[in-house]
Amino acid sequence: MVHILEISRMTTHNGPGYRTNVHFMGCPLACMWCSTPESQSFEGLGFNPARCIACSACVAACPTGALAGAPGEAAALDRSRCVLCYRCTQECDSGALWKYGKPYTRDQLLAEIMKDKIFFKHSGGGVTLSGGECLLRVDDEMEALYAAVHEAGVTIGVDTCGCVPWGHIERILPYTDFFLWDIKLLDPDRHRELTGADNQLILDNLRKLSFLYDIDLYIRYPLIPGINDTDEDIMELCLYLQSLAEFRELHYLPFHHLGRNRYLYCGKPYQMEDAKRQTQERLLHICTLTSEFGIPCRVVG
Amino acid sequence: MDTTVKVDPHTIGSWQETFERTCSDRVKAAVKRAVRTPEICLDHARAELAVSKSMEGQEVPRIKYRATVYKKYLEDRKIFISDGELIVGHVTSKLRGSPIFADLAMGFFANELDHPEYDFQTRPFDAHIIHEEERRELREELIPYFKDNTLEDLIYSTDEQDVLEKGFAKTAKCKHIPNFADLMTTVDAGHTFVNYEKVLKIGLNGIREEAVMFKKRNAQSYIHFLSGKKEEFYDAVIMVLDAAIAHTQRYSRLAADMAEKESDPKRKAELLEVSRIVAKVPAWPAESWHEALQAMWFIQMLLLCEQVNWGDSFGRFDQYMYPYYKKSVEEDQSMTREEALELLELFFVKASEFTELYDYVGALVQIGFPISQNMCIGGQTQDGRDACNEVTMLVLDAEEQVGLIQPEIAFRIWKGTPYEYLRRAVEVVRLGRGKPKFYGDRVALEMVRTAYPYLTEEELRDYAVIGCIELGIPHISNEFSCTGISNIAKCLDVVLHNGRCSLCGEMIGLETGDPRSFKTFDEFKAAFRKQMFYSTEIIMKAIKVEMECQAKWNHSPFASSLLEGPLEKGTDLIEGGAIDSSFGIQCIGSANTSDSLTVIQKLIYDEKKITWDELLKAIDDDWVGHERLQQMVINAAPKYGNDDDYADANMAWVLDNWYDSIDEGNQHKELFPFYGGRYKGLIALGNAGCSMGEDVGALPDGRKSTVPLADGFSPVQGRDVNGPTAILKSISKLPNGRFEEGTLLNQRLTPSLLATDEDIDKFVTYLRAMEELGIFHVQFNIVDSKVLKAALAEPEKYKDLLVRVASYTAYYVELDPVTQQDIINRTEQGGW
Repeated sequence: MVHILEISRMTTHNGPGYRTNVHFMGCPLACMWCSTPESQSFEGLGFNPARCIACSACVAACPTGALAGAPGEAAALDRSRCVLCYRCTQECDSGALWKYGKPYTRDQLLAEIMKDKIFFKHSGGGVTLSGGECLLRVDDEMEALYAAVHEAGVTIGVDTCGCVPWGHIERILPYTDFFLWDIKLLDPDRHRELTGADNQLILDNLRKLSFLYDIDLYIRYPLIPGINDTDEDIMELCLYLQSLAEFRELHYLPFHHLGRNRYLYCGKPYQMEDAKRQTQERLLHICTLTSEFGIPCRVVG
Repeated sequence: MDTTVKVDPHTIGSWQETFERTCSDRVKAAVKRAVRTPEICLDHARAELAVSKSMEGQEVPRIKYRATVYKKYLEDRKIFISDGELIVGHVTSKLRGSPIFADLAMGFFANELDHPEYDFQTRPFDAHIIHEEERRELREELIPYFKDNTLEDLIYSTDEQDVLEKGFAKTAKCKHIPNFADLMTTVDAGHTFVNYEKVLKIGLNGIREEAVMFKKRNAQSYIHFLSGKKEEFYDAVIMVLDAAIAHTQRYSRLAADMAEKESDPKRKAELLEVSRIVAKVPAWPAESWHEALQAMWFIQMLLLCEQVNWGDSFGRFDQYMYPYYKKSVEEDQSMTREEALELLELFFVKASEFTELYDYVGALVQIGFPISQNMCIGGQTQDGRDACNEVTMLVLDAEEQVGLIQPEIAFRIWKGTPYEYLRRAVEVVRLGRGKPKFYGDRVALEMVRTAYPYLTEEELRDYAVIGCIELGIPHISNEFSCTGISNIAKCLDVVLHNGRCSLCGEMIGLETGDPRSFKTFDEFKAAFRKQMFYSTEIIMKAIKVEMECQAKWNHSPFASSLLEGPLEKGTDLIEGGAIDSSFGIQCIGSANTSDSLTVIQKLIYDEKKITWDELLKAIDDDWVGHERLQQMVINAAPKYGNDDDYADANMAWVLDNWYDSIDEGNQHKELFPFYGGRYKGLIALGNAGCSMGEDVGALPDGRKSTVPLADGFSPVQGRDVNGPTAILKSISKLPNGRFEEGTLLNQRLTPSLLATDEDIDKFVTYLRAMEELGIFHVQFNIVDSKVLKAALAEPEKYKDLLVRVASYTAYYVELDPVTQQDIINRTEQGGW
């Protein structure tokens, strides 16, 4: 059984062709700009007050008094009192309260992935496993899933932050067609400060993968305003990437606010309110700068 | 409403806004001229009045009357040639006009002209300019003379009570009946592909010779059966062909006169060339690209002068036009590709210079000046090779440059369609006009195989599209595709209330039992099936009445002479003269019905989460006070359109069982007009989801009373959450091959999905998958809700913003507020 945040079909930005993107729950990092903050844990309670129809059924169901509100009054959630029993989600008909992470058996997930097989065939697409962090838990069950997808003739892309034991990567490598490998910051201290984890493992794994294995590798670099998007940051990144073996392409992911509401739903504070997407001119400049290092790159998203 | 919307050129609608036309100034001027509010033109009604008065007291066969009116109209009507035109001919005396046919329209004119709500000039959709003197003429002369002697009067004077009470919305006691057979009470047939190819080859004079030959053969034949009636037909054909040829000569003289007065030597030469060409075609065979295009437009114009015409279509344009292109551009090199393109662009503009005016209800079910001249391109040749050629590409190029409301472009795709054509088509799609529409050969061939069992595979490969999305075979099909609408969401509503209308309490259906009494889901489905069969039978009875009246009224000798069948049989197309006549019944409301069935199956029968009492009480209260239950039915049951087998199976069941009722009807000869034919089901029709929704009470899928139903067989608005591929997958599970006359799918996509070159390439593969999945038709609305909202706030700036309204393209700002809002509400498929 694996826990999935969501499955997006027909995505165009996660590798070649049209791809079904599977978001796993759980992540070793907690980046402050994360656009799926709810996937940082393996489970959680989602609450969208805008969908509440004020029936107060959840209030009656809550054993700890975390939910309050009389009938006719929108429910209010006090997360400090919530023990994640999810009884409220069973009572909520409007979809205002829900449990993050839907359990799938291997067969169920495989069936979901296979639904778009005809589009994979024509477009050269497949599945991209993403997160959260899809490599956080790699057990027999997970390996069997990779094997089954591979066996079914569907290409597998792994979108990873790389902050996982090398053994996890090694285990799924035989079935994997390409990696989308995130790099956020090269400075270890700032990495620890802004993502909650060291980047040593990430860079070690990447080096190993790059030099020891012949596999399509795309580097992904989210451009976070004021954090890693100055010219110096880009040049530092490029110098580092030059030290790797050849890879397919560097993808710059411009900043966006599409995850803003998700913070509201999972009850986390949104810290990126003032950030602005890089302008077209700025993105062009970044690409030009990168090209000077002989690194193939483009803007995705 | 947010009125301060700003469009971000980097993300939204950018292709539409940053697209710059590279066509000639002549084409730009023509395009600009054609974008205007239509006016009415009374010339045809005046001809009818004059002829009627001259024939008063005489027993004149109806066909002779119609032919005489045609002749009179063509002799008297005002003709003109606009600045810079190289392809000439207008359907009416106005730049963009609707011809008014008095003995079809004066009934509703009497009710709607000057009406505070319905008046044609002030109604919220499809408004027409009517000048004061025209109003006076209508009020004082035309309405009084014709108003009680129209086709409608003939139809509604039937003594079939069942049909009057339950088949026609206009005469029904309950205004919410599931049957609507009123669409052809004020119009002609107009759903054919005439044999343009033949006229290009032998000219109208050649057709006339054939008519004379058939007339002689009839006179000499020892078979006297109906020979007098046939004689009348041939006489009428010869009369209208003579009138048509004489009319083209009027244009030739006009062009020559204008040339004489023209001071600019360049324009003078152009006018002289126009004069030469129209003197020659379509009377005589065409021999060049320019002549062929002019001949094509004249034929179309002459057809439109004969009938109130919805959908006469061009058939496989790129196939029969290619020889002329090849000759002029490749062999003679008498013109360049650019010049050939300019002429085609001017031809496209002509197709947008006329409209049709419908009565309030007729316009409401198909908002947006619904004329549909489909131009079919691509596909396969008769021997199964790819059919794309340089004209295919030229059509796509012209559409990109012109981008007006007409013509429709139907791009047939099959596994052998070359990449470069598909790619070019997607580039046009991303301009957001909903054109071209795509048709998949795989399932289309299956559909025509069922509909035309007597044709060979080679002949079937020549299929083309008429009107909205109707499948037909060129030259032989007469698709009366709008004869009836079957609102199956209303059938469900009626079953839920044991035969009664939920809105007015009238008994309008079968008593199938109280839903509470059904022990199993299958019992409930059986009751619903019975109700659908009952409804279909009534519609067919109404269609029989309607079409037999049409057969007495709407003779079209000119159109008949250009089809295969009528000349040989000596029978007008309206009396079954075509080789294949069929009657289309449209299925409306299937997605809401299917989602409702899923709720009933899952929550009442499978999981027993709710009871019939609760559900029936909730829909009777229009969900007010039952908000929790409403949320449960919306969220706890799967929905059609998400590639969910449970939900999709119900949709397949609904369509299969509805189609069973069509097939059942086809077994009963007594349900057909005297000349026979075939009933065919289709899912198309304009805006019917909105207007038919007004007749349907609250449904178990959570829909509130009287709000719009889903259009076509698209998923219910906002209930499809898995993106476009899931919708195609859901549809691929439906009995598409049974829908002999076609199905319609709208997909609305955000412009960002087609932003880059790579995105366009990916989209080409999407179309290939669509064809392989056996989807018949798909059209794309590529426009963002921000643009739509901006257009609502500042309609003046968005006069030319085109959107898809179900099966055709319309100017967004010309739509009524409810439809405008509905388009915004439709799920925005930004999933990727």
